[in-house]
Amino acid sequence: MFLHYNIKMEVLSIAEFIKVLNGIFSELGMFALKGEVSQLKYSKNNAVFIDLKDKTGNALIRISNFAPRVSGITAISEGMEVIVEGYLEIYAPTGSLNFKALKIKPIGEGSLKQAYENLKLALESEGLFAPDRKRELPLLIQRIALITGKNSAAYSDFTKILQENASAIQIDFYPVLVQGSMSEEEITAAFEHAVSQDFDLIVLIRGGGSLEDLAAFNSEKIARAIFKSRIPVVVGVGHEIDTTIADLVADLRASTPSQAAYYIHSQNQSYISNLDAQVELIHERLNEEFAKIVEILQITNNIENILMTKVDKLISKTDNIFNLLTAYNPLNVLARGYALISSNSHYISSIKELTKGKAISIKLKDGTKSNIIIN
Amino acid sequence: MAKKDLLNSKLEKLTELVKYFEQSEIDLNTGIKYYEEGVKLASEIKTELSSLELRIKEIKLKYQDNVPS
Repeated sequence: MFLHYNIKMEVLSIAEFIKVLNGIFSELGMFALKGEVSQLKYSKNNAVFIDLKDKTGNALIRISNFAPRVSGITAISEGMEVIVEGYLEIYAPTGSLNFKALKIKPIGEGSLKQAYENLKLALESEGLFAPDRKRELPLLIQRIALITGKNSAAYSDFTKILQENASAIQIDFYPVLVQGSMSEEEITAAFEHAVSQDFDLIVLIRGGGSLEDLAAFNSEKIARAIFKSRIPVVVGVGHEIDTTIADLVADLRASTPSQAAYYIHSQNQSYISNLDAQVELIHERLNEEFAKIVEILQITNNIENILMTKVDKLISKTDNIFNLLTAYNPLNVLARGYALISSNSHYISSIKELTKGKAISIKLKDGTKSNIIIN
Repeated sequence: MAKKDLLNSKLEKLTELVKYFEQSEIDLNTGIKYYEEGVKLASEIKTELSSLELRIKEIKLKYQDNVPS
C-alpha cells in the first residue's frame, strides 16, 4: 500500500518526514476504536485529550481534537467504555502520535447511563431545559412535520388518533431511522429540512427501548437540533418511564406517540370551542346593538305620535276659536230682523251721525238698500 | 323654528281677537274688522297645520319600510 510513496534514502527534515507520514495516515482513512476512557482532560483553549486503553490495560492510545469538532464529547467522562471514530495524525511540534477523534459514543448499559447523566447535567446548566424557554403549542395546528420510523408503531399510533378524531391536520412525514448508527444524522437532517418549511409544529416520536436503542434521542446533536428549532417541537418517546434528553429539550413532552397526537388534537379542539364562544359573543353583541336600534326607532315612532297629537290639538284649538269667532259675528243679528246702517263703509251706531242729506246703506238679512237722509 | 314661532304668534293673535268679543260693549266697526281678521288668521293657521300634518305622514311613509313594527 506504500508503493506509490517513493521513499528513497533521501535526507529529510523532520517536518518533511512528518508530512510524508501524515500523508500515509490520511490514505489509511478512518478507524473506529473501542476502549475505555482512562483519562479525559480539556485544555484552556477547549482542546480535549483522552487516554483510551484496552480493558486488559496493556494497550493505550492518546486521542485529541478541538472539543467542538468531536461529536458526542459532552456526554463522555472517565471510566466509560466508548467507540471513537477518527484518523491518525502525528502532531509535528511534539512528534507524538495522535488519534484525531471526530465522533465518540458510549457503549454498554453502564456507560450509556453515565453518558446520559453527563449530557443531562451539561445541557441543563446551559439552559436547554429551562421551562421559560418552552413555547406554547400554536393556537391552531394545521400542518405538522412528523419525524419517526417508517412502518413504525409510533407512526401508526400517532396518525390513527388524528384520523379517528377527523383531524384536518396536514402531516408531512419524514421517515428516519430511529436507532442505529445513522439515526442521529437522519433525524438531524430531517430537522434541518423541517425548520426551513412552513410547519406549525415538529413532532419527533418513537416507541420505547433500551438506552442503547434510544441513543439518538439522548444525543447532544439532536438535543441541539430541537433547541434551535424555530418551530415548536413535541417529543413523544415510548413509555412514560423513558425520559430522553430530547424529551427534556422539547417544548412539549408527550409520554407516548399517542399522547402527542392527543395533545395536538385537544389543542385544536380548544381553539375551535374558543372560536365558537367568540362567534356567540359577537352574536350577542349584535343582538344588543339591534335592540338599541329598535329602541331608537321606537322613540322615533313616539316622536311622530307626539307631533301628530300636537298638530291635532292645534287644529282643534283653531277650530274652537273659529267657532267662537263665528258665534261672535256681528252680522249674525241680521238674521234676527235687525238692520245695519252704514255710510262710506262705516257702520253707524248713533242717531247723531244721521245728518240731513247723508247717503247711507241699510243692510238687512236679504240685501242692502241705499238711501239719503231727508231731514 | 321661525315658522313654528310664526304659527304660535298667529294663534296668540287669534286668541286676542276673540277676547275682544267677550267684553260687553263692542264697537261694530272694530268688531267686523276683527271678525274678518280672525277668520283670515284661522284659515291661514288651519292651512299651515294641515300641511304640517301632511308632512308628518309623508315622512312616515317615506321611511316606513325601514321602521320595524
